[in-house]
Amino acid sequence: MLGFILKRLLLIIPMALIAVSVTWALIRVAPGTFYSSEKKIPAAVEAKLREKYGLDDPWYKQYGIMLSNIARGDFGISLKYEGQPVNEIIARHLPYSAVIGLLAYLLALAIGLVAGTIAALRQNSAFDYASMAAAMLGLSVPNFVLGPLLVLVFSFWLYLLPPARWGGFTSLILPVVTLAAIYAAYIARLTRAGLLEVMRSDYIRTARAKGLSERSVILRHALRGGLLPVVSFTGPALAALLAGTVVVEKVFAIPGLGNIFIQSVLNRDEPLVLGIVAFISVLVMIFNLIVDIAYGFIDPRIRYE
Amino acid sequence: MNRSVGKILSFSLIAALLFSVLSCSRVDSGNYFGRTVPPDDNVLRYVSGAEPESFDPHISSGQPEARIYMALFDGLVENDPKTLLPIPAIAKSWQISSNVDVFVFKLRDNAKWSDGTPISANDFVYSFRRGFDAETLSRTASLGYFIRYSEDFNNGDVFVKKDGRFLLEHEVNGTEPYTVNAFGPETEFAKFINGPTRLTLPGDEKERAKLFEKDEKLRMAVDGAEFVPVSAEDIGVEAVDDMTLRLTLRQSAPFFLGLLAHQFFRPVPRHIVEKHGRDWTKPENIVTNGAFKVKHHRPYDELFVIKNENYWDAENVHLDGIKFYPIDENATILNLYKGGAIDAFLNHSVPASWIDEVRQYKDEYLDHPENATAYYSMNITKPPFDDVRVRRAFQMSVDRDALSNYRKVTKPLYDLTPAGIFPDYDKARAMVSEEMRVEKKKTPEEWAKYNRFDPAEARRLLGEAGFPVEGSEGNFACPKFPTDSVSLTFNTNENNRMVAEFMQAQWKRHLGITVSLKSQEFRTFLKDRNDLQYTGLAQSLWSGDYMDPFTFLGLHYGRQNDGGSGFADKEYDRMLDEANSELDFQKRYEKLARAEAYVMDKLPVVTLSIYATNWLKKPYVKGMYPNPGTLHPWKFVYIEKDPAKWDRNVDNIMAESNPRTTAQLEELKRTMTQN
Amino acid sequence: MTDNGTILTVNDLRTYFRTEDGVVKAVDGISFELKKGETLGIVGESGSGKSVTNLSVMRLIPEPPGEIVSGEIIFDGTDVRALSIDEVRKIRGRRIAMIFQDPMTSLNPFLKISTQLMEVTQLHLGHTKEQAYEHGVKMLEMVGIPDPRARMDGYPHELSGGMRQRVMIAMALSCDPELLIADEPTTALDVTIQAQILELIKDLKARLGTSVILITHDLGVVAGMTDKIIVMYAGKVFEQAPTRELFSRPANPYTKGLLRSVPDPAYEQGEPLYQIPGLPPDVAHLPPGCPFAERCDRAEDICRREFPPFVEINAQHHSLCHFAKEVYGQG
Repeated sequence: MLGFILKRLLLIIPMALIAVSVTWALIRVAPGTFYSSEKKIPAAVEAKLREKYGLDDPWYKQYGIMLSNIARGDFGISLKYEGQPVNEIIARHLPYSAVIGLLAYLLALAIGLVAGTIAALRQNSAFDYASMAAAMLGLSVPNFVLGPLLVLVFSFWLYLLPPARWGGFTSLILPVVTLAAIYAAYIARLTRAGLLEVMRSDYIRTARAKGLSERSVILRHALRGGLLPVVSFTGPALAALLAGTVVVEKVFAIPGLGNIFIQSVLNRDEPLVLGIVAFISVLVMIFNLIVDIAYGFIDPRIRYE
Repeated sequence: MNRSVGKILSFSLIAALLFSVLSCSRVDSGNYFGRTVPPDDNVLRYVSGAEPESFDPHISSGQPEARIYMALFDGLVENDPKTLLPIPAIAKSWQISSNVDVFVFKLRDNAKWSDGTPISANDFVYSFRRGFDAETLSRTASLGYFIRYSEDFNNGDVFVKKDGRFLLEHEVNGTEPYTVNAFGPETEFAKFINGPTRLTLPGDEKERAKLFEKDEKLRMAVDGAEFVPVSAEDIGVEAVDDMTLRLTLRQSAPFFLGLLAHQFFRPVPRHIVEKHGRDWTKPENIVTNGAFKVKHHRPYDELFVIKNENYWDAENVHLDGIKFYPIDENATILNLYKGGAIDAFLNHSVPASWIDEVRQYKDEYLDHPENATAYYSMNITKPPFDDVRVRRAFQMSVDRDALSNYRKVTKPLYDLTPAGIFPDYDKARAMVSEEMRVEKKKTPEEWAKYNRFDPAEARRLLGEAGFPVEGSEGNFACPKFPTDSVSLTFNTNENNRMVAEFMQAQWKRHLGITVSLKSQEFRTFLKDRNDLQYTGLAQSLWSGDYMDPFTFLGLHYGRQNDGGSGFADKEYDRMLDEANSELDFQKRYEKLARAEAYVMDKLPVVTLSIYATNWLKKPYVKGMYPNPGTLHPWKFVYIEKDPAKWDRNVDNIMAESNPRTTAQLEELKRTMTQN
Repeated sequence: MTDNGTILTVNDLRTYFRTEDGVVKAVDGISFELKKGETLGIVGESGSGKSVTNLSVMRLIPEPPGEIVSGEIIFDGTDVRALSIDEVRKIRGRRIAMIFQDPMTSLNPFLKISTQLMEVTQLHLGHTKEQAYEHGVKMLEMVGIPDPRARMDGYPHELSGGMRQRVMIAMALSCDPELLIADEPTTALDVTIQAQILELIKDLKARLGTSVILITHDLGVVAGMTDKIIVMYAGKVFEQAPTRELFSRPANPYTKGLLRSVPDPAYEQGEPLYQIPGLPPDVAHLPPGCPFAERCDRAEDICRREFPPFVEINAQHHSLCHFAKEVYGQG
């Protein structure tokens, strides 16, 4: 098991470097530079800029420099926001995304697990149809529709919650709910499907045949297997959430990592883009590793060498 | 059975609850849009746009940064909050030479940085030199190129020293020597800067070699000479004494005084910049001289500036602070405004779908003509747009009135310079236009359609150019037209697409030509446009840098210009130069009008619209006006707590006078006439 | 309350399933009796209703879509159908235990062996953790699992098929139930292990005195194990007889067919193996008359028209056939 973990951890660095390399190539191929604007920049200024950032060096030299810096963990300084190291920028905006992402996922788990379990246990009941219909809605309504809709109801009709911006507990409610909706829907459906399948298994029949109460059957015997799909789903979902979701952050003006990321791409701010890409790759891989380990704990048939 | 009943009951209960809450909770805010409650503290909450990239006034050219610079930095002059004409700031008075090429400023002696350090003319000299230094990487330096030798310095050009003296330009290219008449105190520097223009060559050897190849005479003239880089000390900026600053230009530029309000010309603190280098703008280091100073900066969340007690005019600053919110999502901005979480926001930000509704709130919705235009550049370096008849056909087959009605926030544009914001210039233009009509022997009816909407004439022109239009009304076709080498390129944006689709429909309808649309991401688009890689037409927007027609006409001036069409015409340049040397105000306008008529005859663009401002401010925010540049000198702004004094049913906020603001302006202008 | 030493009486049991296809009469009038200490074999092809019969006894039929429509199930004097579900749970695992066909899927792969063993005695006998653990170890020993303590902390997937089935048996017998229902316990195992498991069951039954119902489709399995046999087809009892008599003198063509299908090593090599022609019927759409008529080599017109009578050959031997006595006579 330890060997397995170690191997996966070691893989993270080369994988992240690959992701960074591909991103680097894409940025270079995309036309436009970080300093382009509608007004032409004086030629001498442009020459100086290009010299300062080594933009006229051969591409393999630039690539090599970038790679060796990143491998040492040095992501450099933002091109657009002078004097701000990329690491600082990421560290500063990550907490906003992380808090909202985490709260959203916890809410999604709470709603999704409960709804999915009840729906599975009361299959084809009114609750089952209602909750699966709601889940369908949650999956199909995009969050740039749901967000403003919630703002309309809760900020303007009911005057209960602030319409945007970060500040105080009440300002978190709408963005968290908007974000949680789609995940709750996914989790409810996954839980329901997983649980239904498990409930059909022979070992559930055995458990009942042993005279166990339905409660014990569900809690002790069914849930473990039934929740495995949700565990798998959590890894990448949580990583994506922590890295920030652009739409919700834009609609609610949250200074999170998703917002920064999109801006940095539009600004062609290469160090920042690469830094965030590296960060997200590492995050995703670590979360996947955690999920795989958790999977191994839940399902004893899976053993890692 | 019990379960279902229970479910129905709970559902209906919730529904009933929701209904009652919804119906009785719609708070009625009277005649104003959304929640209208002034903030408790005296701090204005303003959405400025995208997150500012730098607090260094020499660096950024963007609109969001401009408004922040205006809060933090004070320059020689400031913009009048309504007319944008220059009013005294750190300069209390000034004198201008008769050739409008030398400006002498008297500075006030109580101007200080926020850390108490006094400001002198030397600060301005240092700042100008720093701004034009290529190392500074300023994006806006070109605005100041009117200052003698500043462009050469910024470009890293060199003087040519031969036999112990510097070669002069007129010696090499045989023109008349250009000298500046002495104005103000005589100094050594003045002797140099007023002298005939020195010859300058590119600092890069390869560039020079190319020039020499083309011009043998030049090469011989400089053979054996020494190349001396143009230095910061060579530019036309001089501290005559601690409180007197003199600027010497390379040509007459009557609009230059207004230009000095731009952020590029606002000084930076030498002692801080030299100490911290590029880190000088960090919140812990930054020192400013404006009405406000930085309290804290939370990127992408909030920039909080508070009143600067060391500001020379601090007692006339009404606000205690301003919170700038960096939000660029229009719907979110509107939501915040409606919810009463912000007091005003930046221009061009009300989403199209909301305009009809907010228009009713005329005390808050501001739409006034702007110093900004939208047009389509045409790439005249590539066929078929190298033919002026084709270009004119495209111009004349578009109904601009319909376009403006469709856009809602714009008015039709028929020239390069917007109508309605320079009344005297409009008069000059009308006069020139009438002259041209008589000259060309056209009737008033015919002339009224010149370069305007006349689809029949457009088709005729197109036919003349070799692309005849067949068919009849409702069913035109132009089979010979090379549609695959013509497209309309624009940067991805809801408004741009709206307009593009409208125009496409117009050309299809009136010319039978389907122009393909090409939407590109912003920076990709800029590159294509600026490098003249696009075929056909490209979206162009231009915000004037100062209140003068030249800011629009100058787009197509010179070899490499920002007009985006590849238009470079020596005669046009000459006409503009002549206009700018004209001392008489009205005569100058006439000359500019003629130059404009000339370029409109050559027609490198399809004119589209004049922008109107499009933003909201709460009725309790005073001293803030929808001037053509949407530039707000923040010291005039105040929050009116007494609801009786809020804006109510004001027809034209630009026409009405606010006694407090007027008094403040009068007080400031008083020093102009002193010496 | 015992009654002539009968532990289980099933009387005209009907268990139907409502499906999209219609009503499936999986069990349609089954009756049998099991005396204490007896071993009853229930034989039939898949779809005959044998498993459903036994799930009905424990009320393990999922409702919906299934339902015990009518009939009596008397276990040791108690009317099982009249009990509340809580009372039924008290019986399950404690007085009636069941083992299933595929031990890999019948054991929970996520839980330890110890957990699955312990929960039975903790629930029904009130054992503490330590007591239950020790008891579990003893049970594993009893079913012949080597190194039982090590096995306790392991998981089902670590064991071979035969071992798992032993664990299932240990689990079932933990509370010393009066009745053990074994639903095809050896079908999923290979032949050598089959024999071992059957031996084990026989042995435990002798030791503990448990009554056993053994369900299978394989006549070979019941031959050495059971006291009496009922043969089921299409949800009905086709024949019921003491084991030896069924094998020597069957009274039903279906039974005869089944007997012929058992491979006999005495046959010449190269002879094709006999199988009853056709397939078991679709229990949702049964024809009128005898459900076996289509496949029966003795079938006549009356068989297709009229439902066969339940003929009594002797006190312990009954057959559902128009020609029961003739078939019996043939021997």
